[in-house]
Amino acid sequence: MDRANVFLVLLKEMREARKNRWFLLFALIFAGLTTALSLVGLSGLGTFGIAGFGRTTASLLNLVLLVVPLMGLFMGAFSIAGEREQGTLLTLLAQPVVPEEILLGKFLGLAGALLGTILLGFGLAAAVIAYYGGAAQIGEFLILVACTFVFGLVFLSLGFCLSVLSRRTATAVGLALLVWLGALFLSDLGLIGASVALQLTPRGTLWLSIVNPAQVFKLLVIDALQGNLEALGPGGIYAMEVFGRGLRPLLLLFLALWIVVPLIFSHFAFRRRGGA
Amino acid sequence: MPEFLKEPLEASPPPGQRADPRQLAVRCRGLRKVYDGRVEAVRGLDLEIPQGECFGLLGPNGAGKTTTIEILEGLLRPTSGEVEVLGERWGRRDHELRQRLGISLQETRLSEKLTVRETIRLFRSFYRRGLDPDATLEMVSLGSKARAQVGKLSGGQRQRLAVACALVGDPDLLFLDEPTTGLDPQSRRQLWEVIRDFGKRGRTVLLTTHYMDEAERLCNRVAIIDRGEIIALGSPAELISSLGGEHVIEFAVQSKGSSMGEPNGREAPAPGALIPAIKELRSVRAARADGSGISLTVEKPHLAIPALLEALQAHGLEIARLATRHASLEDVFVNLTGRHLRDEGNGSN
Repeated sequence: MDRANVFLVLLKEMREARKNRWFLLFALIFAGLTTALSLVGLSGLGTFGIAGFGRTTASLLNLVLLVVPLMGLFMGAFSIAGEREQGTLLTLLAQPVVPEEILLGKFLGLAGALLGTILLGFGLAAAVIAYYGGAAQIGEFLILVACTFVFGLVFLSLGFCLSVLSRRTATAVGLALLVWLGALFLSDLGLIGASVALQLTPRGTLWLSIVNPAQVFKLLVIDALQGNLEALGPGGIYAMEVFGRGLRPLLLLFLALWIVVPLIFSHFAFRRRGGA
Repeated sequence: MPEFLKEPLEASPPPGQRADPRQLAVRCRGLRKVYDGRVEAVRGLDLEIPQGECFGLLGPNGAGKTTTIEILEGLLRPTSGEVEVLGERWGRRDHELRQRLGISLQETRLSEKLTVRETIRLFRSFYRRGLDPDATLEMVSLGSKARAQVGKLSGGQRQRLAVACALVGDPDLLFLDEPTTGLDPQSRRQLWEVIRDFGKRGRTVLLTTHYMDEAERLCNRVAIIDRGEIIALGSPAELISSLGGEHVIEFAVQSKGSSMGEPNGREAPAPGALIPAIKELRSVRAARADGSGISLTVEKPHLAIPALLEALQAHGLEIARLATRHASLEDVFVNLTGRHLRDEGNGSN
């Protein structure tokens, strides 16, 4: 694999993202929501006397859980299927670039664009929080930013995989929406339902929840922010008891697998399908 | 713009006669492509194109030209058959091989969000050596559009940019799939000049087209393809001379004394009925009914026309319409298939 070619495709992807209206819309919405949420979070500052970053970081978690997967999935879903539909993928494949370079370049380019969006959103929020509430507990905020990026990559990778498998952009986007609904809404309900109906042990509940990258992210961030998972009930307490300090690396490993496995699958699917 | 893209790119060594006509640029044997197990787009095609030649695949839409060229470009896998491009087979050293190819697809789609200069520089960057991107844009008269977004170019400008992208790597072998389709006459001529200049440097060109004049003007040899098979192969002059005459007379008749729209009560005979008699006329090599008229391939028009007028008079007929022209590859196609290229459908494979 030629790294220069990967870099060229990466730059192309970032340039296109910068000029893409959907992408800009996502960035603005995310930035708007994080800033608005930060302002709302800060409104109780005087009453409770809580430092700004700590208080708003927790409320931003829910926003991230909802918006970032959608961003990642959509960006990924549009990528390959969009180029295939427009015919630009075949043009690219006709150049001295191997499919692996195209895939990796596109993924990294989109990852860069995603990072840009996340930094823009959190950057504005950080400016607002720092202005009104000071810089105390900024470390927690930065942990959330880093975890959010990893979390976004998971769904970017999933969206990318759906895009490689789909002939049409509309199909990829439709599938991406299903994944989003499944990961964010149905899995929560399913987890509660399964725990009750199957009378799952705390161990069973934990393993069932870490199948879902959204749950893994939630566990990771709460553990990182609060230092324990008691808020998550028996499953959280069980996780702390069993894995102790090894829990965070394990959760990070799960997220990494959620990034790498769809990418590997995308690679094989793309080699088989090519530009068709 | 990233720094490395601003740096001057390594230009090619001065153009020289790199081609060795004893070497084949393209060779394929028994090429076959079946889509979905049913539609046979290419049926056992054999082709040898020496280096330095401008070769044309000529045929109507749906004849299998694009399928053939995409197999040769390594973008499609054949169902069976062998392909060698510049002495290499696809699937071995593809990356190295692609460094020596320039490809303009039938509909080369380029990212609409990039500017013309960003696009050409991107394509140039994929090649280890090549032409200066700005000079390549000038070559296709797009220098003034360098800062325009691709999405804002006209169809003709996009087509020229696609060809520029194929040329910027200074390839040994240039694949052009219908490069001038949809272009205005001036743009077509401009592009022909670019292709001719490229060929003059001893490089090989393989182009597909359904424009007869394009093939005649640009190609050293052409293969006429119909329904996935080569039905004629040779230089345009050879193929035209295979008709037996280099001139075509097209005419229609009417009964003597009648004028257009005013029959004198006696119907003119159907064109087909006159053919046996006309075929025997002096210098006539072939005759066929063509719509409401007759088309003759003749060797010497100055002998054939008087003989024709005499024969018609003897049948009580007179000329309603008469035109003469040089025979073209279109006539070769019609002679071989009985159909006109322009009659075919719009689908392409």
